[in-house]
Amino acid sequence: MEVLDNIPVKLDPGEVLKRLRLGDKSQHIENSVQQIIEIVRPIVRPKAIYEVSYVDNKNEDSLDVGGTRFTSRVLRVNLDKIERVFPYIATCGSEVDEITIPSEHLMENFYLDTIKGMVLGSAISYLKDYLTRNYALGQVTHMNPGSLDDWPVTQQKELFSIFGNVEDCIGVKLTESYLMIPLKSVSGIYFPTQIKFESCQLCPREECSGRRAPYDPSLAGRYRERMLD
Amino acid sequence: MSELVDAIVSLKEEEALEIVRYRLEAGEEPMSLVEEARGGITIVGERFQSKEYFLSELIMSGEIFKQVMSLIEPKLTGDIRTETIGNIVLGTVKGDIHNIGKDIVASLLRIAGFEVFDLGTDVAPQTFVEKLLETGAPILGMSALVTPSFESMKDTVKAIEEEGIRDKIKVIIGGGMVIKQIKDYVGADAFTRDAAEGVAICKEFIEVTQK
Repeated sequence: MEVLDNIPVKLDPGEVLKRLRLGDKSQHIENSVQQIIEIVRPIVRPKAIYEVSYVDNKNEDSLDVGGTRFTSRVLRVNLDKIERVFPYIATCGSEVDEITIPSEHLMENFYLDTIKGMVLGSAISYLKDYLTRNYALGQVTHMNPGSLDDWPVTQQKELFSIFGNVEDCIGVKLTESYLMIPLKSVSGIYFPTQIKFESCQLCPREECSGRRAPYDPSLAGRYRERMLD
Repeated sequence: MSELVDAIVSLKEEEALEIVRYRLEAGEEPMSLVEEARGGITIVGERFQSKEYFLSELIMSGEIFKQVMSLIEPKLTGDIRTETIGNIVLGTVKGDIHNIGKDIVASLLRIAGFEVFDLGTDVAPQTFVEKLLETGAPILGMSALVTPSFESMKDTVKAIEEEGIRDKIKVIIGGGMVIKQIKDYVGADAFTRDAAEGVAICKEFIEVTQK
């Protein structure tokens, strides 16, 4: 198991404004965003934890990863020919999560929430590059419990169990309702892949702000039938 | 479109405030300025729903409206100042602590003229029931972003039924994962994944209760 906690974070006001879609609106907005960045910058410390795990005991719709059982047809299909995978948890860090702004300052809270999301993005990006570089993985992709009905969010419990006491390692707690705290945290499994895969391709949900790829009904059908090349 | 409406729709905060100051000093009726400003917010909501505007712009327009109201409110007379179109109890359900979406909706509901009783996050079913009984609010809004929390929504609707007030309450649920099947499972009357749409639904609920 390895903890990555020296993750560089670049908080560029222009990038934040672009993410907020508020570029060129007003100097007042730019100043407010800059103020939030100045509060975040000295204390921000995103983290990630990962394990090198091996896939075993493959059944119809389930398999073991690092000795822990997961049930998901999509995961089973994706890892059919894969032996080594990288379960992970990444977080914006409890340090920045503890910054509080009075709730009546809605705009500033929204800026902070967006910045925390970008910090988490930095952690995920760093982890992905780190794994790719250090394990010579080539193309990688990931799946996250809860992204698809096929792999429910309840399986985060099993994923967390791979790492032992995650809260002690990187300050992420999994609640009884399977919420991760800090909220800007993500868990999943990275794995090498020959094909470009995003869970979003199998998700028919409309109007999703987090969509990373268009829904592909024929691909979803092939996963159901397990007819992949 | 008046200059005030245009300033709000274009998210020009300083310009909007300057216009309001000028028109108040000229002796204009404060309530007409409130209605005009609300008109600007309605247009922003329409642009958000047509995807011309995004969440940041929706929130920003709300903040501009609040600033506009801070200039107008001291000029409003007592009765008008306290006039609302209806009450709503709002909260993120037990097991979930996401709050930004709920806070945005609360802000927009207040702008629309609702009195909002925001119970915060991780709210137990009985807490919702007690507030509904205390306030007589005809609308309950519940938010959740984590799928296991849908059980909390269902438990809350059940608690309202057991209290014997379900027929007096309209229930609307919201959150990124909410779909029609979840609304049906929970036993809610409506669902939304869009803050502006949520406000519009609540306004319709009030119109129905007033008929």
